[in-house]
Amino acid sequence: MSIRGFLEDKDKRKIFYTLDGEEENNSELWIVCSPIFEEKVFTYSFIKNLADNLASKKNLVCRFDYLGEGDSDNSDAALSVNDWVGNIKNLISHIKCMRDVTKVNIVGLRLGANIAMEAAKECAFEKIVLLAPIDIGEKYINELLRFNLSTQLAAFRKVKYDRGSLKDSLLAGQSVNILGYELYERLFLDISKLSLREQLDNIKSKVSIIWFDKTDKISIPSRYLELSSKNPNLFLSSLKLVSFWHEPKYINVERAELIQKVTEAIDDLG
Amino acid sequence: MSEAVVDFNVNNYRLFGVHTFTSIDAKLAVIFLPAGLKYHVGPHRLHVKFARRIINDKICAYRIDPYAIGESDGLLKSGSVQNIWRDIEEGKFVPDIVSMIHHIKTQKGIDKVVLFGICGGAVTAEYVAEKIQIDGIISVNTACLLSSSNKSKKQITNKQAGNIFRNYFKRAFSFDGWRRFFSGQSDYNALIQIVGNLKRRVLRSRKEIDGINTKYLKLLSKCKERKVPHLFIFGERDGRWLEFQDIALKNIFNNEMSNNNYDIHVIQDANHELHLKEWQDKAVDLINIFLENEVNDA
Repeated sequence: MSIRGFLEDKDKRKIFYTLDGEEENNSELWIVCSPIFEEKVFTYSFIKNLADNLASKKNLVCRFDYLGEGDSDNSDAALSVNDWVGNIKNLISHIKCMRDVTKVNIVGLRLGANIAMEAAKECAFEKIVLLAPIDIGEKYINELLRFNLSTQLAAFRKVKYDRGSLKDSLLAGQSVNILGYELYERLFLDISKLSLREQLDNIKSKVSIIWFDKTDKISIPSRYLELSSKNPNLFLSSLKLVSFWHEPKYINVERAELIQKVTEAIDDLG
Repeated sequence: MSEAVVDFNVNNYRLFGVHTFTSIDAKLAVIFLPAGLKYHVGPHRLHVKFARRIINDKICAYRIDPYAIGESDGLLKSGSVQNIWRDIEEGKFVPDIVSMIHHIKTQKGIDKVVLFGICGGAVTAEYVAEKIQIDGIISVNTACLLSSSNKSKKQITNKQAGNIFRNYFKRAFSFDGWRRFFSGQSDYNALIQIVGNLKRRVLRSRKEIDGINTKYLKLLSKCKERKVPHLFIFGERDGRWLEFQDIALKNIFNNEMSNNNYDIHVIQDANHELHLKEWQDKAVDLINIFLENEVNDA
């Protein structure tokens, strides 16, 4: 049985969500966290396919659009990562009211992985799977700002505002356009301060991280290898894979190799 | 404002969409068609933002996913994006969309339908209008050329060649430009295309540009003859506007930017997907005027 609909939060803001999985034999719920902005659009089919795969293994699976993303309500300057964590908490409570859920797990792609880790500070997840997480939030923000520079070049044939000016504008309360999405100060600061290494500190859940690289020489940052050697609940693996969260030249929605890798990662977590 | 998920059974597949409305008595529906492979929210969720801004008690909106796109059943077959785009430009989504519109008209009490499409979505709209009664089309940066299966063979039009030529002409006086040329960093394909284009002009060759979507242009002509109201919006900086000027504006619209049944608007500096808010605001203003006329005509 599957549900597609909207869930209203206490502030009457509507979140689009889907819930898939058979009515019976479901005790494990998986929450699937997408990337944000245009990465979400480009990975939508993969995320749906991943959710369908998890649901086919007798899991309940919930996909959703963060506030200000997809079909969910529009956001404003006050939007924060904490709002997105709130979306996850609301959905879990809502689903627990409808279904008999004993364990809750979470999987996230790109910034969705980091949002999953933020949610883990407030929710007791049994298993966490992180796909190509953002290592350092500030670097990711610089990647986002680069898109604004490209838009400026295309529209005005020159860069009127460099990265420094864009950051100043954000801190002055103005929004900066990222491929059509408006980024505001609050979210800019929240994402900038994210550090996966710090997010992994004191985590009690079992966590599996899958790193991607387009070459065979995938290097997992040493600080994670070091952490993994001390923490038996942290599992690291890698996959040779071209990033598919930007405009692709080749479509492979199924991504069987990645789905297989996620299955193995979940098995590792027991 | 309310929103609800709607589903359609088409050939035993479940296809999905989202209905945005303020009144269940709305008689005119604006249907947002998928832009290329981007699902029903559109690029940077433009369809969501626009749908929520154009509805009122008389007008509702649907954003829909055909088979293998977004929420709908099915998985796209693996392949080159250029090839899939080309399939879309040749009508891949048309049967599903016609079925969904038929359902919306018959089951939801809708009398009039206006289609909205960006790029490939605008091309799809024209094909759909050939199959089912449509009361208006809003095309944003529509595509007159077919996507090439081989990028190196992509044709450029006179306007595009002129544009690129001006850029390269400036660089002819720059040391950095020549450094890029001799170090293999220049776009040699573009240079070859410019030379070819200049040769065509000098020799007054009648050779046509390859890759024109002739089927689409014929339908565009027919729609104009049938007086289907049509709003065209282009971004000034988008190559699609240059294409349109070379291929359609003169041949189909006699270089006239408007008449009783169509309006062609160009948004200053705007790009292909109307990224900036001021460009979106301008487009929404144009759409609201267009729809107001549609509703008033009813």
